Amino acid sequence: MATVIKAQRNPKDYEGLKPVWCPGCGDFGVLNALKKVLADLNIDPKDIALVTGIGCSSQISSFLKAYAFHGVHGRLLPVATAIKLMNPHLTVIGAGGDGDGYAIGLSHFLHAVRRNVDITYIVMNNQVYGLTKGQASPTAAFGFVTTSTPQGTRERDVDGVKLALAAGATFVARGFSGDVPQLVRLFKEALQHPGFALVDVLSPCVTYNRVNTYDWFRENILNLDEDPEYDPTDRVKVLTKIMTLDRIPTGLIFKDPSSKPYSRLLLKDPDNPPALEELRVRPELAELQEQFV
Amino acid sequence: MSEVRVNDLSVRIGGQAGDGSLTTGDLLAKALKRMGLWVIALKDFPSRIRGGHTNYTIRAKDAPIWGPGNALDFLLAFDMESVEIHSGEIQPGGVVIYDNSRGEQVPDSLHAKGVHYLGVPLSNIARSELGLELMKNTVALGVLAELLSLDDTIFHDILASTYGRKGPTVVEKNKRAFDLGRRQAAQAPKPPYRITGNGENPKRLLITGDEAIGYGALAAGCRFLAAYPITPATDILEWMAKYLPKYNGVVIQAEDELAAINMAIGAAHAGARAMTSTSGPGFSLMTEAMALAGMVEVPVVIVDCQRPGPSTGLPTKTEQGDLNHAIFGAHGDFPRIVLSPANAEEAFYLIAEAFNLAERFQCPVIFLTEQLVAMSKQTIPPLDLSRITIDRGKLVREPVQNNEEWPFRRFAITEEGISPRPIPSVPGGMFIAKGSEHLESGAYSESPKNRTLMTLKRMRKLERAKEAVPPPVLTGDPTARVGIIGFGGTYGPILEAMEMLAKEGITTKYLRLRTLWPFPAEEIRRFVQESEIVFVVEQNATGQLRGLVERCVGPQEKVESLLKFDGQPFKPLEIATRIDALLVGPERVPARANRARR
Repeated sequence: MATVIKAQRNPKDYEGLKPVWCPGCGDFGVLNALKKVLADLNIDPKDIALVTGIGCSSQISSFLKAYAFHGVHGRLLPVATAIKLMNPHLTVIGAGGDGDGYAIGLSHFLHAVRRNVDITYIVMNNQVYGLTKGQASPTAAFGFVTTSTPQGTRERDVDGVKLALAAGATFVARGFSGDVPQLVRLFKEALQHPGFALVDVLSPCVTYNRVNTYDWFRENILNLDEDPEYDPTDRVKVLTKIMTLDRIPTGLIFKDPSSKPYSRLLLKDPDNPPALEELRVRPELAELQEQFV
Repeated sequence: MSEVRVNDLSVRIGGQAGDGSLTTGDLLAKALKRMGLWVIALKDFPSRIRGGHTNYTIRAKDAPIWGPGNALDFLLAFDMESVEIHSGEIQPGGVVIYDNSRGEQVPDSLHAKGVHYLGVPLSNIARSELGLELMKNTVALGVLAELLSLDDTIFHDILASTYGRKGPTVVEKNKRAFDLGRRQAAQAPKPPYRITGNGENPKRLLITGDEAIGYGALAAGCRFLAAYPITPATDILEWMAKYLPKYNGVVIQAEDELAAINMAIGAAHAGARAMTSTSGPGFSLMTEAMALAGMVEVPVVIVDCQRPGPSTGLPTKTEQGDLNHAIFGAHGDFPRIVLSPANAEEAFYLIAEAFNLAERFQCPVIFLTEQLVAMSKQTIPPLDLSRITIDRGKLVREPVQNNEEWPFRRFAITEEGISPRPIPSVPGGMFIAKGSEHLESGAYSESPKNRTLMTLKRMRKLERAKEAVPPPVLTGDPTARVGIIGFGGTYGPILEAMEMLAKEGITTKYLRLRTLWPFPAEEIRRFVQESEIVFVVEQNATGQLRGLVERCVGPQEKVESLLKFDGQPFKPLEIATRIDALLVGPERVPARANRARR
């Protein structure tokens, strides 16, 4: 279905229900950046499928006007993958938290990377479980003290960016809610990437994480977008660089210009989405019986 | 034992997995089918890749059959272990053909009365005359054909079509192997069997339930399957992987069953007809998302090919132990429909109906079958695609009027509980498909009043569904005092048991449930009321179907469980004997049945 050409949209056209996040939550930055990008790209809200999991950040599916799917914990990527395959005309965005993506949904994350399905996956990473009031998440730093880890976590943290790179991701970026203009750039590029695009967003929790604050991030991130020498197309160099950094890299970390999207590989006729097919019983299918005679 | 058995034959081929007994069995099944007989080929194989005893039973009759027979007539034994395990099942007049290449002899202790033991150096002939030991399969087939006086032509044709891809040399070698086998058996006494077939309708199909499910789904417009390999459902995945892409559909081998069902839900939400297929262990993983489908009212079809549980259980055997799980599994209250086919033919039409029901009632539909039906090759009449209809229910594909309202009231509370379902990209239809409790728009709500109304709205769909689902099928004499209730693959064995009982003068009737949920309570109540004794026949240990029956009629002495849970399908005789045995009890005897017993 062709997108109706309309006057240039503005972020207000994507306004959904009123967000119920805590004032100052990093997820507001993600929502605002996303609305801005969708307006800039002039995507009709009806052609957006926004799929989320469970957690504070996953509530974004109610706050942005689109076809929203708010599923179960950790399983947003399988849902989003199939929506894209059955209707490649849609702009499919998956969004959730670090617990959703890197704990309960980790296996789906790696397999979505492998499949290179052409969706954008935004992980709002705050290193803590907010909705259940403050337990350690898999991205919490070693030693992080929470109600579920009173002695401090004794597990090393998961880094979605490194995992994605190692698993063969074709687009990997990291943003910071405190830098909305950069988020806008990263989201725009991710949405236009013909393949699976991960944008891990450092999105501070102002209620349950008093360590990794906006100020803490400003002191601890390294914006690779500001490094003119940095080449985001060489996977080995990228991995070497980020594995040896003592700060948290942000920016466009990696992009494979030769990426081929999954839907183009799988669908015989991607221009005619199966989801829109006028179904009828095809008499010619009777011929398939021959194999059983 | 001089009576000649006409067109009624059970042949078991036994050996080590990898011996080639499946190929031999398939060739024999095809040949018997082409002669116009109804054939079923039952796999009984170990859950491992190679080695271990395996056997394949080919049964043929001049009437439809859907399960094993009571006894075996022939055994093709590639090793002595097969003779030890199976020779007790051979009935008088039958023959055990065994490989005696290394001087093997059947010990006297194994000799059954009236059974002939024919040693043939199958491997030696294959090795020395044909240069390939695996050819012993075709040699054995020749031996069998000679003993049964079967015509060469059909076998030669089938060998040609089966091995044609491998070139004319392989075909010729197989024909020679077949002829060598014939010659080996030329001097042996002919057992009392006559296979005439009737040559009618050579267009009948030999198809497994799994294949029929895949084919039926495709015919019904299914465009998406996500599944994780698991016996006995894997053949659905493999069949669809081969054919669905040709029709612009997609098959994904998912990373696990959690992904598989969530993918199917996503595909259905997008507007395609979507399915996932699995067995017990995978179905357990799927229950979380099944509840999601119930809550967001997404039409998804879930095929559960049951195998004995719990846990890994017996992966390659048969059982009906997931019934309660299919009906009651998952958290919370939500509507669902559970269907179960009797055989491959019904599976084809019923799976197509599953998609209609899923879309009409916007809920998960569980298609409950079992290893016996899923993996046995069955002879069925040609399939008629014109019997399939497509009803997409309240799917909305046209722009929604008054489309400035947002979110669209996707979950509008209606009298029948069903609400309009726009798919992504439909102008004006944007809504929130929310797994949490929600308002008509899909927006989150904790309002007690809304919660109550929404729960009732969803559950109301089930009331409507009661009128739309396939009703039970009543077979036999409706006035009979002995009733039988069953579902799924017990169909064939029950029908044959009824015939056996009829010969003893015991008339029976049989209520077969095609829909297990919503449960056909009215029909059950009437059936039990109008019977003096009711046998609930099912393949599980705890009488799960009987439990459902008792929910309707209360505990009643006249309701008896007839159970089997050893991994093997029922034999007709097992059912007939157990019914017969209970009828002689002093108080329970239905008068007519009593009179009929001599």
